[in-house]
Amino acid sequence: MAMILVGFTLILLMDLVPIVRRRSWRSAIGFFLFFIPALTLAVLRQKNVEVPSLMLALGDWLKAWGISY
Amino acid sequence: MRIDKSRISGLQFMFAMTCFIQASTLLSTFIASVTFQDSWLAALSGSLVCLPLIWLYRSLMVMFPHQNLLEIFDEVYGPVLGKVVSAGYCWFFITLGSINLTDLGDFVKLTIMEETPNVVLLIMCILVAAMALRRGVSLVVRYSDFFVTVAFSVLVISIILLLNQIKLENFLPVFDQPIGKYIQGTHIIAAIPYGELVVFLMIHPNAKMSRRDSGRYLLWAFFLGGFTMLFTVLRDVAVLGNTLDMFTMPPLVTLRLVNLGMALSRMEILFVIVLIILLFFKIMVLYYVSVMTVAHLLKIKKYRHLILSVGAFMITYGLTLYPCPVKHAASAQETTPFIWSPFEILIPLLTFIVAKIKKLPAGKEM
Repeated sequence: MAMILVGFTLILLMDLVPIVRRRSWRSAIGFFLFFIPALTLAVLRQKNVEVPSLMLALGDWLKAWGISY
Repeated sequence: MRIDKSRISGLQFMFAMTCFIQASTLLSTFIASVTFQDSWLAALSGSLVCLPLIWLYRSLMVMFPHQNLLEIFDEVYGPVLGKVVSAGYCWFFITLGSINLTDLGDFVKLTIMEETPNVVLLIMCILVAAMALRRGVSLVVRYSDFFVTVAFSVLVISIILLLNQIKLENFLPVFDQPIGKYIQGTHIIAAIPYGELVVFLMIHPNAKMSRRDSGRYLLWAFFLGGFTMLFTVLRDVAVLGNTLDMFTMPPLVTLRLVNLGMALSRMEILFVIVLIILLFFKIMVLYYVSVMTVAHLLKIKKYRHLILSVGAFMITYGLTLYPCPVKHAASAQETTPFIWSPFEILIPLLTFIVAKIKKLPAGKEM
């Protein structure tokens, strides 16, 4: 857990600080759009919470429609 | 809006595409358990079926030489629908990158670094790729010619060293599978290595090449990559025969069989190194394209501060996609070609048709 927090803090320091300094709010939105889900998924994985696979879910949905080999 | 202003030569563009196809050599595993000893036929028919697809990509490149795929969507579908389609491609590029990233992790863990945690391998890969991405596309594709040469050399050397193990009867019986299996194999080959070339529609405005050259380079890349793919499958079938589907990585097993007395054996390490290089290259291109897509969608001119957050997301997202390589292979054989086809075939084709009907780009003749 500590490694995850250190890693993500480093990313924050390296990328968010320059974004805030430049007041580039679009960059901040882009940054958090990926940073927050990445951190959430990393924490969930660390806590052994099973996250459903999007590709397998899509595959099951296609199979239900009869679109598969 | 050109976000990355660095330029690459037409030859670098060609070698990058070749490298991208060559990186999919491992995917022969997906067709091995579908078409068995006839896998080479699926590889050949998949390549032939993709020729019109290559022509389609070439046409879009020629019609819109200064616009990347997302800019083409904006022009063809308008700002709103264009952004919706672009968001779909953003998911496609990131998912593709994440899948290849986990493939690399699984492959390295299975072959040379068994004790290393998967996530450490993925982080190292993303960190090195992120360093390249900061310098733009010119650094991303700089060594593609070298990688292609190394991959070709290993393929040729392996074929020569395996000549004493090749049995032509391993190709028999030919056309022994139901027709549906050939269609499935062809679709897998068309959608997974060749259709993924659609990512180069995001890079082509950075390539310095004339309209005539774009077609030539695209075709050469297709032939060089296709040649590698076909001969890899031919070599594996000639050596392993219909036992091909028994192995998770047939090329690795084939090279393990190289044995010239005590002097030369354990050649598979060469294949492992080459495949790691090629897969890393493919991930780097997909990572670059993903970051560019996000930057373009949000109209961000300086993309550098997005690199690490997108990379972190690709790692964590990739780890959720498939619980194990077996599930990945099953999905690649059964449903993935259908998931990818709209992004690789249908939308580019529709875009081409709509552009023709609207006579876009305005004031230009093809």
